[in-house]
Amino acid sequence: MSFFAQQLFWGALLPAAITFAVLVVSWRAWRRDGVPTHWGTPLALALGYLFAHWRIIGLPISFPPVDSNEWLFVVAIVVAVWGVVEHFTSRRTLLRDAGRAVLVVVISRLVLRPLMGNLWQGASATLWWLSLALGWWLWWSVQARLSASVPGLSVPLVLSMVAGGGGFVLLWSNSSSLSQLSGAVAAVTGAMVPLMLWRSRVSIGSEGVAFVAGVLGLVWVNAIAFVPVPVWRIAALAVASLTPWLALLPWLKPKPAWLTVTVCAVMTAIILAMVMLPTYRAYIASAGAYGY
Amino acid sequence: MHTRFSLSILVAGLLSTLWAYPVAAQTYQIDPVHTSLVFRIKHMNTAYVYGRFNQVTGSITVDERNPARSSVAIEVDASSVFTANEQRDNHLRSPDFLNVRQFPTITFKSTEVRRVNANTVQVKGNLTIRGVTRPVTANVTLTGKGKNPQGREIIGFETTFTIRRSEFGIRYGLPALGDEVRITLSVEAGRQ
Repeated sequence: MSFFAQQLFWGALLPAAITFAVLVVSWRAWRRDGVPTHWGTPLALALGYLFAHWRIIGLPISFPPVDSNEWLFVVAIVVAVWGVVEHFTSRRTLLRDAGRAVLVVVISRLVLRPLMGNLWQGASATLWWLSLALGWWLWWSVQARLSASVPGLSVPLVLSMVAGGGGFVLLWSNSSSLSQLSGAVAAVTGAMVPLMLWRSRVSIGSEGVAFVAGVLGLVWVNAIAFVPVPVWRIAALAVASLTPWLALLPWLKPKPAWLTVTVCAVMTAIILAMVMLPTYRAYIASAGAYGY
Repeated sequence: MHTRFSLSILVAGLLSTLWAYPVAAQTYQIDPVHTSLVFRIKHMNTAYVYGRFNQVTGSITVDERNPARSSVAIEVDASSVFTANEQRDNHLRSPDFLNVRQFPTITFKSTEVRRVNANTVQVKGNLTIRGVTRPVTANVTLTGKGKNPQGREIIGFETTFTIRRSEFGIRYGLPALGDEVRITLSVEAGRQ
């Protein structure tokens, strides 16, 4: 097996298979009035992702982690647990928003700590930290609302596309490990899609979104802070993930589900292409003959 | 009178001999311009690729009479990595490898120096890369002593040793990009 085939197998295909298997078990075993409950979704996503993380960059060598990439392993566990907590606790939106805000502020402070007072000084350090945390929180909160307003395939499909396309953006921005971890998020989120084609009454829910937005959000924060990837590229990825809003437009709402999903996917692909193409051109222009 | 005069000459002679004898421990500052830190790593289990760090600073204390009192402290600017390919250099600076924004320096501090033979000492110390500290041992050879064009005393050393990057948490790309990194450090340092 070639190097790239190995990376694809261990970092995407097998993790997707793990998530798929756990989802089947959890959705079949725990139902309420015939509809699967979603507390198993973040756990299924996390198991697939953690396997991929282990294969791509290994397990953290210390706790608390010393390295920004290693934090992703720990945070994947934290946000998976958070997803389960969201399922069993208050459904009041404001309370959930407040909880997510505390979570992202604390996590981003821990992860960005080595840069504060070092690379970023004084007020600039606080500004970077709070700006990244705010962006992350806003994106997570919007995705949680989308998952409630647009049930069905659109949200997980678009998130999977954005994580996959974002993986290429990160690859062409000098970060292969974050690229592969983003690809792992794409793979495990994408594993939901065939299941949802089969069982149309299930959705990703705010539980699954908690995992995807938690891990992918930190991948993006790390990309901006540590690689560094230009902020506009990450902002464009976040915008690309908002296309499920289109399903709420009055002219699209009454249309068949497959049409809505197709419109969302095509719009996402267009926005992704708008960020991927210039990133690729910049990469090729400066890459020379470097092929890893 | 004659005895006193002879005694004072003897004491003066002894004192001048003592002063003329070099001070036991001398400290040298590493000259970054004439110091090379080169590494090699195997690519796709096929060929060795070489790179270097362009900014190496630090100090060396040399006690020739008692090598155990000698010491070395070296600091490397991790972002000065250079492999003759800008894209690869940027990749090496990223969190995939050195993560220079989080860990801007690579350091070495000796903990023990032991003489091996006339021109070689064994140096044990702590090497910190990417925030992870591991003990390393290297034989260091004296390559020469002299004076630079400005008349400053200079001294040169060279050492080669091998580390496993995975032990320092740099595991990206294993095993396609080799785990073993052979490091050669050639130092020229000027007396303070």
